[in-house]
Amino acid sequence: MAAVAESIAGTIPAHIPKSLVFDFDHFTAPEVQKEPHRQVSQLLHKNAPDVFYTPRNGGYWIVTRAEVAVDMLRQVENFSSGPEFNHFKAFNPPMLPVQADPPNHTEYRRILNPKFAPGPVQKLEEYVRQLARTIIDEVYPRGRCNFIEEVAERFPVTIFLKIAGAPLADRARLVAIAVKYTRSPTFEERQAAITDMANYLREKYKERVKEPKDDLLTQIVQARMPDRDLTDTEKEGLGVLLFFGGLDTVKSVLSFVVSYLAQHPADYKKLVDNPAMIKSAMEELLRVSGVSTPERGVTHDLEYRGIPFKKGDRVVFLTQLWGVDDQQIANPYEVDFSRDVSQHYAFGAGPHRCIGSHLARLEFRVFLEEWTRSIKAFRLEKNVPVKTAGGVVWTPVELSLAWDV
Amino acid sequence: MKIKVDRKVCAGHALCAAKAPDVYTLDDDGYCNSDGMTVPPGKEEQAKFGAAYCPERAIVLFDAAGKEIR
Repeated sequence: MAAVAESIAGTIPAHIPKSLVFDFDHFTAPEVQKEPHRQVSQLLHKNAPDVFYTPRNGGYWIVTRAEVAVDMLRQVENFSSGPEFNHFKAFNPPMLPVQADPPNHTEYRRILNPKFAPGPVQKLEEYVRQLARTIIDEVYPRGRCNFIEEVAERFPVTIFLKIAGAPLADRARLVAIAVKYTRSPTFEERQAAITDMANYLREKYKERVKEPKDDLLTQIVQARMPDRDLTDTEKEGLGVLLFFGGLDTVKSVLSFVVSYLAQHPADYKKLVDNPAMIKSAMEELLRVSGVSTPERGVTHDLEYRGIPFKKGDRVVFLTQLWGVDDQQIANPYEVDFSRDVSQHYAFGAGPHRCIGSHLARLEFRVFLEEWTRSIKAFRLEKNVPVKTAGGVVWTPVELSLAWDV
Repeated sequence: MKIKVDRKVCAGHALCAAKAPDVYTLDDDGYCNSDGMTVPPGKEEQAKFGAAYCPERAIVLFDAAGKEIR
């Protein structure tokens, strides 16, 4: 077991057995800063209990194995999304639907689904393809690009802002707020980001009340629960979560995927030679590119798999590790497009499965179809390992690419 | 071959229909609505592939004798 620094050892609550304590910080550990899926998996899957307690960042449980996690995420009566069971998530406004349990959760999903169900998303394909082409055509002649800033932030964020109905001119401001939330370990910084986003949304909602449009902002403003109107807090909470989800996650996953392909030219060539393969290869690439870290609070004292959970304990789920869980999949670190099934949980599991998953899959596939059509081979511009960052959403932080024109 | 879908467990990943489009269909919200359906003849392998891809393990297939297929 990793020795716990004396300075924080005293903060470990009495009900936590010493054998289940492992010192790991998913914001700052060296393992999250380079090849995090492999490095963190090698550290935790080999050395830590499947569910362990870290005293970092105020202290919480971490779940590293897919089978355990999927089972826990279904037990909403024991492991709740409600902020009342997780002091660290007592945000104002609570983020919805993520911070709600069924049945309210089901109603919130119903409100958002018309823009995110597979059918409506499929109608966006031509727009998504045009945008991918425009962005790639812009960087291609230069023979290089800063992928994150010039492509990965622009592409999904532009699509999201169009669906949401927010002006493109607000992109940089909104991305900055989202990043403040996803990379900050402290409650105060994350609350500040949420407040900024809620303030932004309040203004937008006012505009939509006056002048409705065919967009997500209008849909939220006009939405109702079965027996009542939505409260202002609920409207803000729905918007905050969607904006955080839409502004930071696809960018991060796409950057991991492209970073992998830049460093594995033989795999990339397979996609160039056979674009029809991209759809299935995507799942294998997603398997090693998960980014998000959902959290739950324990609703009452309970024992689960011999672990003594106490009411109010925080539980953090490292979905990033489930696709590289050697109990689920053979040779987990090897990307192999010929695998029968590329099981992964990049979009989570259970009732809170990422509502944007269909849109994200469309974006990844169309982007790779267009990238492979334009660029037949590419590489990392600098011959140094790609730096990555941990946090609520993991991401590469610098990814400059080069190709021959 | 018959399809059983645990609709309570289905989380709308929609991978069944993506991987086995001749077998599984989705409702308007993107959740599998093939519960109780019979797999079209000749599509048995596709049906198994789609079921294996379900991250929630919500799909179980049964043979003509009512025995679970693994």
